[in-house]
Amino acid sequence: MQAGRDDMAIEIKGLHKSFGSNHVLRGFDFQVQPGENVAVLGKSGSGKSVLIKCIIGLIQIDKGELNVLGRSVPELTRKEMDLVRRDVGFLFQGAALYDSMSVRENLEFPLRRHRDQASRGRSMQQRVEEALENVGLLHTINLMPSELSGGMKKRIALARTLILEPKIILYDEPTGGLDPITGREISYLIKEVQERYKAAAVVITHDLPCAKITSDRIVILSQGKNYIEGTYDELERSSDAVVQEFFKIL
Amino acid sequence: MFKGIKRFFTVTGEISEFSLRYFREALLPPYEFQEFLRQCFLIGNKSVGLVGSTGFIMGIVLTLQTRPTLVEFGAESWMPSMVGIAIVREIGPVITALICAGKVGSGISAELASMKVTEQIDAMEVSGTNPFKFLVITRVTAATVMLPVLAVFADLISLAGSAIIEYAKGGVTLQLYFNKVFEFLTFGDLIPSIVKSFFFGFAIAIVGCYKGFTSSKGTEGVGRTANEAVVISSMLVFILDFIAVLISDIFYEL
Repeated sequence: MQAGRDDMAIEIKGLHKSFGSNHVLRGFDFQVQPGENVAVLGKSGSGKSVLIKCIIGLIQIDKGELNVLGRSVPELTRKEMDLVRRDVGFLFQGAALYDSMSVRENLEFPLRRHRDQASRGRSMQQRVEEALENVGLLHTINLMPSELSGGMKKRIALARTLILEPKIILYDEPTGGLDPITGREISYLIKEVQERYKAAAVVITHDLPCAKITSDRIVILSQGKNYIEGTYDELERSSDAVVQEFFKIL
Repeated sequence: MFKGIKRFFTVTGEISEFSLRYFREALLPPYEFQEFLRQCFLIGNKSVGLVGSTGFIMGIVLTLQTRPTLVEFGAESWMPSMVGIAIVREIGPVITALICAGKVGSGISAELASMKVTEQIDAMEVSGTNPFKFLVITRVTAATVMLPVLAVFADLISLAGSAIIEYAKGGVTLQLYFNKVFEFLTFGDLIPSIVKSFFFGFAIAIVGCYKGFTSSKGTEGVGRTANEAVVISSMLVFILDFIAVLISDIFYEL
């Protein structure tokens, strides 16, 4: 089995992914170091979500190298992939809370799946309460997802993502569908949890304020490739037309 | 026309492949026993009222409709055995299956389709759970186990409805009525009926799960898949019933 570098959280080389005649990713290169927060910026339909779904193994890649925590994702068996996923959290765009389960059950679900990881000297109840406290929503523990607002769902989903204390967290449009104020609150919450958990993060977004708050580095994805990358300030000063398209709307 | 035929064979092939995957994965650990029990409760609990009331009405209607003809031929004493055999062999399992196709099948497909649209199935996958095992195997196994139970329940309620009419119209006591019913019922009536109910349950749930799992076109697709699941599983119930009658005829010479 081909293994990537152990010192990299995520390492991608020449990633290709097509859906029929639609070539979404055309040789994408990307590296994320442990503890680093990277935002991937791109227009709608540019392949941002496809990229993180490839990272977590929800979508099979066509060509290229894709290593997560030193393991080559395309070569992993289902069992091996599940072990990698234990260390990778994923915050879905629409929160993806299980409708038929209460907030408590939603948070307990990943813990029950990974009992070995779950204990760490604390009971399941303690872990759930702690995760909810971290997002300021302990009082919702017995509510159902249908009783929560959009922002609350995102927070609960973040708590569920954090409960296994992952080494990498993937955020798919964390502020998508939220009003600007709630979006900013979520962005600061992400920044706060990133600092606390010291996990590497990939934030997929087209919301520049969110990228500015949550990331150390921004990668712009255009025409299936990493078009340009740099810090927020570096990109803001860039005179490149594609980069300026993002900053113009602010 | 050609497109329709092609689609029919494509869907048939995909459902067969989905069913094979069920058998492949159902035997391998981990087993989601808790979720299976929850689904058994939900499927049984959700349908028991409707199955009971429909069965009761069917028993009453069947007795009321056939009574005048039997009376005309002086054969009203045949009523319990005739109704008993009709209900146990055919009406009980088929009516139960059709009700479950409408209630359980559509519920399963709508639930899974909506989970797919809202990325809950993906969320399950990334949390290290095999969604096929957690969602499909538990539901299909639960429906396969629960449908015969519901069918037997429907048989009993239906016979009770028939017995009440016989008591009211012909003065036949409940004890005499049920004695007559069981005098004529044999294992050849009961066993094929229970066995085919297992197949009905499997078919209803596998179609519901397949439609839900392969749903597309967002929220619009949720309603459509539920509708398609009911149509396909109802058709399958009749096809399976036809096959079951042919096979049981070989074994029991009906």
